[in-house]
Amino acid sequence: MSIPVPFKSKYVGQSVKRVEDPVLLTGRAPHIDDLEFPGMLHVAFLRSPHAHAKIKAIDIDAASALAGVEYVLTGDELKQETRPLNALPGVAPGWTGYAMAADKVRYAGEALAAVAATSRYIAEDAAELIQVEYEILDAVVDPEEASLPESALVYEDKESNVLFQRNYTYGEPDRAMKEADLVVRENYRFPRVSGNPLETVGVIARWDSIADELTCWTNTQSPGGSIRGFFVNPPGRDQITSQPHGGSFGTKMGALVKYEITAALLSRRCEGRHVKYIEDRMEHLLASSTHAWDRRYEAEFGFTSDGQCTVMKVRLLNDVGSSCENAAPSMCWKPLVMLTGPYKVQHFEYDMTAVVTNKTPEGAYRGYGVPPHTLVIERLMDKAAVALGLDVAEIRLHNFIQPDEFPYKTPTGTDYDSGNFPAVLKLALEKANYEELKAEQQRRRDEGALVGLSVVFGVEPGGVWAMTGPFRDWLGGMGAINPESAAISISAEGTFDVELFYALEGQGQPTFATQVIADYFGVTMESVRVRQSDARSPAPSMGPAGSRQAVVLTFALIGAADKLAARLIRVASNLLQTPVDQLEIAESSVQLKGGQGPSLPLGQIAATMTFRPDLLPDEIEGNPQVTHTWRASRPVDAEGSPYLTYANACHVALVEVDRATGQTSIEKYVIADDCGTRLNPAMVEGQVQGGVAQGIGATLFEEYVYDEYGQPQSVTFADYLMPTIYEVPMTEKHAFVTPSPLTPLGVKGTGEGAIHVTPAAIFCAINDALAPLGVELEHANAKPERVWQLIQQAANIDGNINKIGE
Amino acid sequence: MKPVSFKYLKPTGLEEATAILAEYGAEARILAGGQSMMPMLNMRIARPSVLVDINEIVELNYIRASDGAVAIGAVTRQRRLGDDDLIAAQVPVLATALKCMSHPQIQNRGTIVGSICHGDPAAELPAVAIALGAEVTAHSQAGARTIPVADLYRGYYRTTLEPNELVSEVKFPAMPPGCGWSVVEISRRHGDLALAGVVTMIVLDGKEIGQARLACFGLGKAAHRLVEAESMLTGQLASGDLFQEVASIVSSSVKPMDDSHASAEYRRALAAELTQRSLSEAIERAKQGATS
Ligand SMILES: Cc1cc2nc3c(=O)[nH]c(=O)nc-3n(C[C@H](O)[C@H](O)[C@H](O)COP(=O)(O)OP(=O)(O)OC[C@H]3O[C@@H](n4cnc5c(N)ncnc54)[C@H](O)[C@@H]3O)c2cc1C
Repeated sequence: MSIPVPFKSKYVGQSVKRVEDPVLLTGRAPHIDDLEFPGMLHVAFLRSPHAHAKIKAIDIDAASALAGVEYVLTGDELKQETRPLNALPGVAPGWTGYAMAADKVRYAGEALAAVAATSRYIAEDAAELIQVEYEILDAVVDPEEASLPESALVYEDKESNVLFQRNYTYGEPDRAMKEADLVVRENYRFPRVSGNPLETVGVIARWDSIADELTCWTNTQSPGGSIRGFFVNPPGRDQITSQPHGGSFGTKMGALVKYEITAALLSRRCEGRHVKYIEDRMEHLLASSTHAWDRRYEAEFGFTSDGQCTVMKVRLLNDVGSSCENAAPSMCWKPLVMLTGPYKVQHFEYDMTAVVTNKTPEGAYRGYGVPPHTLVIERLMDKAAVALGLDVAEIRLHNFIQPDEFPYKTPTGTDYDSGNFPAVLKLALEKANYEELKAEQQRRRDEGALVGLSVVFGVEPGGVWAMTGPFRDWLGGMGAINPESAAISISAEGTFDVELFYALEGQGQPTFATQVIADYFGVTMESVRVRQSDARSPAPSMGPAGSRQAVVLTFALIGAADKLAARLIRVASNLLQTPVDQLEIAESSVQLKGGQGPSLPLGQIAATMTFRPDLLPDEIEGNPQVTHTWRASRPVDAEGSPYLTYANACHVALVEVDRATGQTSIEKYVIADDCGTRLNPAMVEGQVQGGVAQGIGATLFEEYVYDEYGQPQSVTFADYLMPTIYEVPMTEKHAFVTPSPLTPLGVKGTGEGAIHVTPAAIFCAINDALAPLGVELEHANAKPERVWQLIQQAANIDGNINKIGE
Repeated sequence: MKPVSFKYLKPTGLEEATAILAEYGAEARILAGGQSMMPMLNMRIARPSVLVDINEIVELNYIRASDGAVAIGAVTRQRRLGDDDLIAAQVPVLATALKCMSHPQIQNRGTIVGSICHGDPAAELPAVAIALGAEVTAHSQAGARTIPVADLYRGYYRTTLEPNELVSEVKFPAMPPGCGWSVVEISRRHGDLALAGVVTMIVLDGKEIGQARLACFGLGKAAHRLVEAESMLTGQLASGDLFQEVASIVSSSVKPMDDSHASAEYRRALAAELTQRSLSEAIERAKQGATS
């Protein structure tokens, strides 16, 4: 593989071991729950057992009287002191509650009182002693019924439960649909799922009234920020810092805010003592405000008789739960940046409706709304293929954007940077022995087995650099830039310190930062140390989100390295009495270009800057540390994509569905993917395998289930089924490399690609398996009983149950 | 997810343990491997004021032959079912059951007796114990009594044990020579408690089924024997038709429950399928046993 790097690459492109792992694997990373402070108090919440109820009265006397309890804060008191949680900027205000419920509860699990006590045990004892009188209201559970006029209202001052409705039309979809030779349509449901990192969210707040300062130690995924604005009497200043965290997948963003607010207020009530809240797993599953993609789709695609897709219409109904306190509803917008997937389609209608219900509020989840959209596109491509008698691979090849069409502008005005979709698909087919798999499938089908084969494709928007293009509508017409920073310094020993301005999250950025900087200066990886700051630095950083860090950090790192190199060369030019333009950096020295003549070790240059600045003219900056903040050089009001890169992948899956039980087993899973330059192939494979696991989870196991009263049924890991190593096959992974022309090393973001595509791969394969029975699965979570019901239906259509399986 | 406050006692002998139970009665709960107890404590489903940790009673850590049976002490870990020679020779069905159960981490800690005392309706060991005709020995200060596991359960997670009783051991009768067995289940994930499961043991008498023992789990309030199925099989020639008939009787006689993973209707369908699978597998093993 050739890497378009501006330096000799010894480490970049190699699967070197991750430098952060020794600390993580030995449990020495200081996670939020490891922090202790003298006199620290611990929080437990009282959470509503009802989905929808008025709080008539709340009695905290017994709880307050319990030994060890310092304060009991009710939602009512909190409401006097704070403002409601932020709603989406593009949505009318008033669709959120406060950090705790005040007058009524809107979902089972919503907090309505918080106890601060000397231990979590006592806090939980006290929470049990709080007496609440509820008046139970009809729960709004079904998102379709939620929009009916007779439905109960989640927010009484609103006219309905419809949070927003938007229609995005490109080209002339109605006309194109009329002219289509073939129209395929289907309704789909995607299950309510969420990220489940090893570590849940946590906060320690200290509101020091003397210093007039609020500090929150957290494990937030998004560093920086402030919560001052939420308080009626705010602190003079506040600081939100972030500890290394045990994964996030989007869960450590919005959900934390309400806990920060509550813990902060408790700290103020308790004379500035430290107040700690660590979410437990039940709370995470029940009330973390990070459930995602509870969606229903109606989709309709038009094709020409030779298999060209001409028009796509997708209507989305999103159940956002009880509040839009997180950016979650913006997950409805994200598909606008990849609306037609890898296909050339000019006519598109995307109609989105979001409703509130009495369920846990939605929040961000890895993939940010793209996985269900990809599933809809891919399944309808399959349906069209079947209707037209085309192979599922063939119909995709027929519709792909071609390699010579990049940069490709999609109907929504977003730009795909580069790619070779046909080559990636063909690589996957070749590695999977597609023709043999098809033959095997036919053979086993003839014997009566339900065997399904899928070939699906997806594009992955990566390297989010700004909230522009379609996101501006969501932001109410505003845009925002998402810069990223890196700092580098060199010591007199010639070692490098790199600083990144967000907390360690686990994806591996310290490793590739080490690789890049080591190669840039021609030093060993051992000479480079990466630190991740706790967000106290003002250097702008968004942190990991939107498959961005490999993209934006390589910009920031190389920008910083360029600055440092220029400075070192200036110093060397002085010491060597040689013009700057004749010098270069190579093998940890500054040398004459071409390698002839004298050279100066970088350490010696740094030592001169540090200890003998008198040898240098005044105009040379003697600081051996530089910071570089990267931002895209596009204006924020530009049309075009908020994402710089488009990685892409083809997944081939072979599954068998058990006729008697409806259970699916995955027999073969092959992936070819193109994420441009691979800084560290093993880390890319880790991202892919993890995304596959989450995709398998969503389609075969995970689902937040509610009963008809809005009671959550999946509040432990015995009921919310995370796939384990037994359920997730080690997939075969193959690389194709089309460097991005827009990034310094040709990298493309690839943190989310596999979760985008895997649900489609499993879902399409299961439907292919069921095809001989003439039934179709519409619910993307192929829970065995759901599939079994379909098989029963088929048997009934056949008129003879006993025939099945014979 | 923190338990209520409790007194923690750690007896080192059986007598000390029964004395503690005599003193605290229903206030006390026994902690064995903790793989069910700890979640119940943390979720405050169990709220004992005294927790009696029996893990230090080393005298109850054994697997030994005892009058044509295999006796297993109360602190013996489930993992031992997979690596013990006596079990492999005399009650191999237990090793088969272990393969369906949980994961190594849990088996290393969870006890065999704990699983039987806990009586999860979807657990494997209670059903296997019932099919085998196993008995537990319950101790109190008043003395010891023997209870067939088949009589141990009286409803959903409820046993006939008294609060002051501790089960010291479970005794599994050795399987008869030539016995074919099977433990099959359907669970959502590997190692999960079953949605439904069936245990079968068959001894052939010539070509006929001489003796049949069946029990099921996940198909009612507790594991139980399938007596009707047994009598339909006994004295008959094994055949697909017979198995199908038995399966449909099993399916209509069990009383499974609805939950978010499976409806009762679906569980009944699984019961039929599993009965057939279990019978075929057990017959296969019995035939091999008869020829070997
Ligand atoms: C992730 C996970 C998966 C699991 N999967 C399965 C599975 O597939 N199949 C399965 O069968 N189980 C499964 N289990 C449960 C596991 O097998 C438990 O270990 C078992 O049910 C209880 O045994 P224990 O020794 O851990 O008992 P504990 O949890 O300590 O106690 C359980 C109950 O039995 C009582 N008790 C224990 N010992 C005695 C005694 N000697 N006398 C009287 N009462 C006693 C306790 O008081 C308590 O009420 C799983 C558990 C987990 C955490």
